[in-house]
Amino acid sequence: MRRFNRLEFADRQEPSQATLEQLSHERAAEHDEHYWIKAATDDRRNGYHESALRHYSRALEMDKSLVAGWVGQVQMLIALAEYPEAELWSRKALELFKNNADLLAVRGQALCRMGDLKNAQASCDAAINQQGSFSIPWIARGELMLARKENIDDYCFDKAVQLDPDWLVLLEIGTIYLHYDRATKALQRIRLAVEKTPDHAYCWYCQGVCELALGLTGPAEKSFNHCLQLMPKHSLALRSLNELKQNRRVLLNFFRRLFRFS
Amino acid sequence: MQCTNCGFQNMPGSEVCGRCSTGLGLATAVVDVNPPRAGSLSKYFRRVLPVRMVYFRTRSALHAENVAARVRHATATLPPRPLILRLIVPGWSHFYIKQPFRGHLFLWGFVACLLPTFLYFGTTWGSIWLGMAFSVHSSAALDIVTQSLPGAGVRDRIVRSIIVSAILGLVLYLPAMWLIGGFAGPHTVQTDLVTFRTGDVLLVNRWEAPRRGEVVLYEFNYNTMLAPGYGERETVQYAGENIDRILAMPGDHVQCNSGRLLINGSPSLWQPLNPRPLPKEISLTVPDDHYLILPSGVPGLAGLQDANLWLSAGNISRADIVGRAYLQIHPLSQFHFIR
Repeated sequence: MRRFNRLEFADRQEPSQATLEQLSHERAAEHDEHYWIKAATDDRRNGYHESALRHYSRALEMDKSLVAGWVGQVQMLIALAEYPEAELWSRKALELFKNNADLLAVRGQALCRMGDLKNAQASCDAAINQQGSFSIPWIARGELMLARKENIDDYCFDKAVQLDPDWLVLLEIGTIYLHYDRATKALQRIRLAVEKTPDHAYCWYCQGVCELALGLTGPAEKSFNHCLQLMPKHSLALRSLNELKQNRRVLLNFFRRLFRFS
Repeated sequence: MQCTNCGFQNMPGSEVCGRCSTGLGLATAVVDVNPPRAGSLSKYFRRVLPVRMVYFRTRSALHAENVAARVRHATATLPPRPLILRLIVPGWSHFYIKQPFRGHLFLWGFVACLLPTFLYFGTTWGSIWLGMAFSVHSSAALDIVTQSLPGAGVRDRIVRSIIVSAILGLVLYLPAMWLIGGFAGPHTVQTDLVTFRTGDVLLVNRWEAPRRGEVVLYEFNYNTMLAPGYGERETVQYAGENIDRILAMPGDHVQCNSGRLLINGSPSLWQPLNPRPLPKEISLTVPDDHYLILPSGVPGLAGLQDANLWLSAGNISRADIVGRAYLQIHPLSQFHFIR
């Protein structure tokens, strides 16, 4: 009975370190690759990219033919701002899964973040030309258009949302806009995600970040608080809220609002 | 066997997918699945110094602007070589292409700015006049270039003027300044001396080796404590530059008998710039790589009669000598050769 494990009894002996390790290995061995992929996806949906990356790796340790695991790893590396590593890893994955649309797309995204727009364009074009309808190539293409300051990014992102109506797609689009300092557009997308799943903490956190970027400290504080109501131990929201309370930057936010262009 | 990548149904026993070439035994293959990670320090430096981003952006910008084709076009339509060579003197190129009015305008405009430059050489006004002369010169050069490449927009003209000025400065003015600075470098006196005042401008030749009898500018740092009489102590401190005459070379024996200076036993042809405060008795041999330059113009030392003080202060190392000061050019009322 796991619920009584933490009760203290006088005659109970503490398990040794070796026993604990063995237990954890056994517990890990109980789960298959799909369990780890699900765990990674859950982490990702909560904004824990580091943990999600570890779980994707665990899944791939069990089955290296899981394309979703490789794609997820590259996406997490991009989310963690490790673009050269993401590009390297996507190349390695592409050696195993030649011309995979998602891998080509995430490679394009990594190249785009590194500033190599020419190769990113080639990669995105190759991804779009692959058979099937996937949302990731359209997200990558939208990001490329955004980086090249061409006005068809909205079209590409809309296409991605049509192909995959999941709120995570909207959130990813929002974070892409945020990366390129287009906080207004990011907020539009993230608000849609919040409307879709108002019970998900990470959406509220992202909304708070967007509002903070726009200098709207009051709404940002509300969003972070809402996020913490849904998930009281959301470390990112806690940190952002603390920073917000410690350093209100009233004047800076005033000027941000005054000279807001995006 | 179904391919995990494209879903293609392959023949049993196939090693790679017949459609997408993905390995079919990948699930059990030995492949490292842990991605490389960036350290926090490297992430920080990537954020602070986005070298890769700048490189790619520059490369794409150069590609987009088609810089190579532009350079080829610009070099193909540059003025002919005789005209470019004549740009050294403002207006000369205009005379060459039969535009005497513009030629005279640029030439005499340049001369009009250059004359005050020499008169106020080494002062702030001198720098201002030199800047104006340079702008007249670059305008003359730009006029020639614009005539050769007509029909340019405002942006092209701005870029062209910057390039012409930069080339002119680098090719002509920078070497000229280096050359003039070597043998006629202006030096503004920073402290009041007996012989010179603050703000006086002297021309200094930094390339010439010091010789006996020459007046030189040198770095002079002196700090000593004197005990002129019982119970009396006096500290003499001086740091900065000084200008005075070289009296003896390395290895010379110097004597001073009742104010009369003897170098190697014979009377010296040269005296310090301010010979009055010299002590009555001096005797020394100048060490190697040192010169005897008595600091007669330093106000704090001028009244002292201590022979040891003069001897210790007068031995100047070769490294401390800046150059030969040979002409005072400012103020104009005191324009004279320093002898």
